Amino acid sequence: MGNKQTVFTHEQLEVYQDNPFRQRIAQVFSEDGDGHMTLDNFLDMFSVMSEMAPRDLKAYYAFKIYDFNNDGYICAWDLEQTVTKLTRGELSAEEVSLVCEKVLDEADGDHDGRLSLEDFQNMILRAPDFLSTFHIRI
Amino acid sequence: MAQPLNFVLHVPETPEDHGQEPSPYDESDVHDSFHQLIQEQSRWVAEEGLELQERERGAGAPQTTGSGSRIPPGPEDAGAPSTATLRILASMPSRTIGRSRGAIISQYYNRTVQLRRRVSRPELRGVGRSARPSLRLYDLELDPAALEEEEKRLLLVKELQGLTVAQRDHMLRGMPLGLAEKRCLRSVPVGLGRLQTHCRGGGGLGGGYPLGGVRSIPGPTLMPPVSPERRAGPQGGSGGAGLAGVGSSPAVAGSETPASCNSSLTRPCALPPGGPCGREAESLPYNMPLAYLFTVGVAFFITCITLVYSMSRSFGESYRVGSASGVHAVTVFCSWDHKVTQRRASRLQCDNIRTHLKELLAERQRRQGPRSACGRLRHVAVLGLVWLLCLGTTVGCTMAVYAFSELMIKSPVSADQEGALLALPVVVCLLNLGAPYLFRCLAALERQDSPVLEVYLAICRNLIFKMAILGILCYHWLGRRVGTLKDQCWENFVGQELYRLTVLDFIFVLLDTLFGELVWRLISEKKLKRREKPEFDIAGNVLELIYGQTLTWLGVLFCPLLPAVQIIKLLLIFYVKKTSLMANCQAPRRPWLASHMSTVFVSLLCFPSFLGAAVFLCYAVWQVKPSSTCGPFRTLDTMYEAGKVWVRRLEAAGPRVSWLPWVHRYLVENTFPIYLVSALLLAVIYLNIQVVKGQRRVICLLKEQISNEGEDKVFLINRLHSVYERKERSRAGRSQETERLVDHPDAW
Repeated sequence: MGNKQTVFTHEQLEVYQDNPFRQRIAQVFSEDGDGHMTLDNFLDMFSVMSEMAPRDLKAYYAFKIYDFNNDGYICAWDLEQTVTKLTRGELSAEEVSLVCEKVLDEADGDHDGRLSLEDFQNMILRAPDFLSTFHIRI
Repeated sequence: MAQPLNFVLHVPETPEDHGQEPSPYDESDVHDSFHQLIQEQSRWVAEEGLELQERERGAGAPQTTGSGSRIPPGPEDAGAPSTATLRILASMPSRTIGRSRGAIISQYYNRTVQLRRRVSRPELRGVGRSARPSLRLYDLELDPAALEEEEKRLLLVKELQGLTVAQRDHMLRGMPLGLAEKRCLRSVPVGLGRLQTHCRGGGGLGGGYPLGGVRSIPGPTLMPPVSPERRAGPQGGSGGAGLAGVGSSPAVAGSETPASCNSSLTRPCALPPGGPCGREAESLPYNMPLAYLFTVGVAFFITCITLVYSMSRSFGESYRVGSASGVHAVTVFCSWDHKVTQRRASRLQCDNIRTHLKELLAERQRRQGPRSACGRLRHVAVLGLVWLLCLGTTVGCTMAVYAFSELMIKSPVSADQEGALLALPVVVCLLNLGAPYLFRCLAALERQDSPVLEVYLAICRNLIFKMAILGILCYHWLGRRVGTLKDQCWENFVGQELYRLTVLDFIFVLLDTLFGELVWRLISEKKLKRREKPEFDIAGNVLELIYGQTLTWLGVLFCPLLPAVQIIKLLLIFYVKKTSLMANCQAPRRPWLASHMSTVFVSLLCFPSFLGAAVFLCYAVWQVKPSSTCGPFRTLDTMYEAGKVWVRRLEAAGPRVSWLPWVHRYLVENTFPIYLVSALLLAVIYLNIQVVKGQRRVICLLKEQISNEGEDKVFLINRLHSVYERKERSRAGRSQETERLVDHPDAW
């Protein structure tokens, strides 16, 4: 982290933790689903987020991260949560719903109003930057 | 799946009895691609159906039906049908692929089998009656009998043992399973019967490959320093130590003529054959000019192959067949860079994403609102005017360079006024520096709708400008200088000019970095009191690099050490730009689709830049008469003739190498093989185009099929609801009937 300290206060740590999806990542990779990780879970998380992980694996876990209610689909509510977290709530509600609508239009293949894992993977194929953005460097 | 299914559903009497298997799962009545997985999942569903129901109720996720949704608002009305429907939904294949370990194992088992049998492209014939996953390209079970999870794991382990180590590791890497499970799948247990106890892994997720590591970045390699085989004579670079480049070691020196080079080998043999002389006459004569040409040619060929390979790889990564633009989805899901950890940087990233989303929405609205005819006309007129101005600037600068070069020819430079030779390169570099800023000002008049189009237009205009300037310079060298430098070395002169251009380009880039970035930042912070740093112009910098590389490729024949100079120049530019970027600039506001842009830049490097240099060199080798006072080609009409001369000497050399002249006469001089090769290449290209067209069509058909399956799912759910409702009503009716009978037993 570039500091010589070994003990950080909560405020100091907060400066380094500004990923809006940090809680979801911890929940997805933990065994019991509420963010408490064992060493194996920790290793799994960093190996999935490393640069050598294959695209399908990353897409699988990205899907789980964006699926806030854990129902196996990314529905409109999940999308709204994602967009709100991405923009820190600085988009108006109307804009958020417009964006969600456009996303469903573009990515939903079977027109059931939500994204399944395959829709998501299909969409990820069109995004060659995904491998480099879904990556945490140690 | 067009015909309606005719089935009878046996709805359970008491929906709360979870132990009983609900009988919509009866084999003959249900679409059979659900059957296997439903059977496998029924026990799981029995436990988890209740949990799912509670989660659905308790998660607070409102089932908002979007504009495209067709799911009937069933679950809100009655509690009982919703549980059964939820159970059925929970067992759908598209859901279990994501969740159940058994499905993951069988999916990867099938993938392993496919890998072993080397089935690369999935067959389209077997796609008939499908329900996703992925239109039955991954058969969930190979044989109809439903297997236990342990048996499937055994099968998977057996298949994995049949692969090579690299393939096995690659397969394991992609599996979304626990680290412990993967470890035990990879290890070879002594007896497979002990697999069940050995591999009882917990839940958990994938792992098992080294973290970090350096990813090798493919890219076009620069021309390596050419060091052709020379037997004699220092063939130094045309620069020497001086900037003006006129030194004591001219570019193409060659203190020996070709004749003297080979004289020892072609001395007429006075002794009788069979003696030592015979052995000498049989050995191949060494032809230095041809060796030089071959070296340059082979280097160019390797560069060409590398460029084309790199271009095709980046095309393959960034453009997919049949993909429409899903820019909103890509922005929402793929634009957050998880590497960013500091608060300020992540705030910046949030702002960027928000701005991008707003721009996308605004673009849509603007596109939807049709512009009036007057507005469109005005827009087209402004566009035409700006293009006219840019092209006019290009033409004007080209004429200026031409006029200046004619002036330089008319006033010859004496030996002690060598600094005057720098005038033309300085003028060229100044024009190259000023034109992008002018184009940027002109583009501000345009007010384009989409920022990506602005970037492409800027790249286009700058590229046309630079290529025009280089074109006029090439004409000046090969067309005019060759004529005026009759008794001197024109090759030297061209090599020196290119060296001067390279070095001055480097100096001007440094100056531009200094004034464009550092001084501008100081001015904008102190005088104008703006907090923003200047933006780093990626397109402009990459075009500068492409221009520098073009100069190197143009000059490699005349100045063989130019690539070494270019390498040093690139290293220095890299570190200077990096320091300046970190200190003075901010990230560009426009969102950069990095992979698309790198594809564009690699293709720009290949097409105008490399191709232009290759054309220039081909013309110089084929058509231009080499200078008669210096160089290894001084006795020849064109440089290409060195090959012909050597072939004639080979013919006289003896029968051992007679195949080379034969090859030369029938394959190189003859035009028929070239036509044949071109025809073959065209045929291959045509085939590939047809394959791509076919793939596009298949993708359209598959998309339609997916959409149809969605409709089918909705239809099935509606039928389920109606059947449940009917059963509920009939049950309610029957219970009322029995109550009435109980109350009034004499009604019987």
